[in-house]
Amino acid sequence: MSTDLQTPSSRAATAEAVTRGTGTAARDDVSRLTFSRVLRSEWIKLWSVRSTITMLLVVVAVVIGFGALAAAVSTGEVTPADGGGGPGQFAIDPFSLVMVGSNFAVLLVGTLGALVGAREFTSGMIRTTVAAVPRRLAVLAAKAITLTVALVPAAVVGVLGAFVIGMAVLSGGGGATVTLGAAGWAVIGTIAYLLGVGLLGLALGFLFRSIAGSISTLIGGLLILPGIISVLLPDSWGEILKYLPSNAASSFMSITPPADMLGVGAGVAVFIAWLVLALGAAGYVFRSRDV
Amino acid sequence: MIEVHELTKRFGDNLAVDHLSFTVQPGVITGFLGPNGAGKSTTMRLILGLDRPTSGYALVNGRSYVDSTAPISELGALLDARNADKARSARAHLRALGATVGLGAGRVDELLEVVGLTDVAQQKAGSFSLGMGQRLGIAAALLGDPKVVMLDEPVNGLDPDGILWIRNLLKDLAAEGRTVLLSSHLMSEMALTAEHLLVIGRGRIMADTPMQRFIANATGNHVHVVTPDGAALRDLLAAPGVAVASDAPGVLDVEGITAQEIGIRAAAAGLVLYELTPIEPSLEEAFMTMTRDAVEFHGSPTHHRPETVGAIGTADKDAA
Repeated sequence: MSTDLQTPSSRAATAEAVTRGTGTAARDDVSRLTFSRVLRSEWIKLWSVRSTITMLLVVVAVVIGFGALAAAVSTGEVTPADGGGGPGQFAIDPFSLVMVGSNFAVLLVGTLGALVGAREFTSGMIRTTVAAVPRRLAVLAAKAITLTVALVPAAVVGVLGAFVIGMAVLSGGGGATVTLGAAGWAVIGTIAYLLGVGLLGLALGFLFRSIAGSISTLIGGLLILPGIISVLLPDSWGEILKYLPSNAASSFMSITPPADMLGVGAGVAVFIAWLVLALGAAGYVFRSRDV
Repeated sequence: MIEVHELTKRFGDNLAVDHLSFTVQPGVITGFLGPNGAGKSTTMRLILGLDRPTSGYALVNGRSYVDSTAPISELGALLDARNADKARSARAHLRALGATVGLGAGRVDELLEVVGLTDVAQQKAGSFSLGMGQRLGIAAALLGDPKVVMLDEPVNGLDPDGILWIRNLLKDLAAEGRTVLLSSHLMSEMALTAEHLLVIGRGRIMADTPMQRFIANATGNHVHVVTPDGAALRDLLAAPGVAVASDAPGVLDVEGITAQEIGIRAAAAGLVLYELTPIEPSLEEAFMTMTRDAVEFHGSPTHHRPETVGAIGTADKDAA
């Protein structure tokens, strides 16, 4: 067969390269598998696909851009297509106005989380990963931590940027503003919500093992389900609405919690409970199922 | 060393791996053979802890793989070259893998050189051809300088140069005292590479034997003889347990007696021989015969048994 085509010299060269490359020298450099090394591995993975940096930059741009735009429209500096605009265009407080971009950013961070969670299952990479790191919960934890470390700066820059620029536009146009001191907790709450949605996407990615499935479930659960429940279910079910993740989060994403929603403390607790539930289920399923 | 004890994996109604027990020894290349769906890949996934066994267990160098202190240095595996994210470069893929045991860029670049991917190291794995993907998978398997190497169909998609390369590589690894378990559906390749064979069918061990013995014991071994005195030689060799077939005058295919013995007897009787050739079945023929029998046996034992009983009955009659 084909081997007859090989010259002796090429055989020797191949064998030599092999010995050089796989000799026992490398074994001395090998260290134990530790959680910090799993973190390092996941960190390399996170930044070596272009979608990560792209999505984070888009998150920043969307939160700041839409915030500034909404502020400009409300002061009348920019006239929207339908001819409205000007003071009183949006019946919301200045903080919620400049944070309007975070509604869009939720889709992006959720998608990023779902990508981080589900990508390896769709590509088969998860088998390579689990073979290298048989302690599966360490893989999930490392992915959650590295995603958090990547998301927090983007959320901070986006939300703070939207706040500062949005308030500057509002005050320049003579609109009502709030100070960072007054909005401090709501700013932190918005940042935390963006992070939380990213982690929910990650958990759903591990649960569904499909990018499309986890993204659609996340968007359905956060954005569509509240609307459906309020329209289709009897009024007596309205109480349930408050406990949906997006509605629970709305309590800590504004300066004054919406009247028909949970209080801040309860909202925080319910949202954290959703996160714990989702990540816990992801960990349980990941640990027990074959990959 | 890989030790597998009563390993069993059930997917619903399908018993993919059925109380499998074997040991893969260091220092030799062990070939893992079986028809499609025999359970080879499932067994490899069970060894790696990717699938949880229904019962039984597998040990790698004396302990469960999932308890390894430096997993990719204990066992390097290539299950499917596509088990990599398409959007990540070859180099980043290996960097992430090596980071789990503290291996850095130097070792990654060394391996890229060995498998011949240095020039395309920055390209996305998704852009790779099957052969390049295979090389990346092999680099990933060898990255941690593992004591045990387990490769599922490593020559898939490799060019002739690559096939020769991987064969020599595996021989070197075994010569260094490592454990090498290799599956391939290319029988000719397996015959050239493996020294020991594990044959499984329907999730069960059918043979665990040195390659030479597997072929020697297979049905189809015979001696091809060409002689001008065909009838005389046929009479000379006639004995219980010896079967002589003849397609043409003076051309005999003799089973049940060695070429040496035929030569001695022919010389003693003064018969001329033009050709005296021991014929061994190829690994492929030996494998096909064995697995076909197994499939028949497993598939329809009621058909098989009466034949056996009939044969014994005939033998009894002859004896009487």
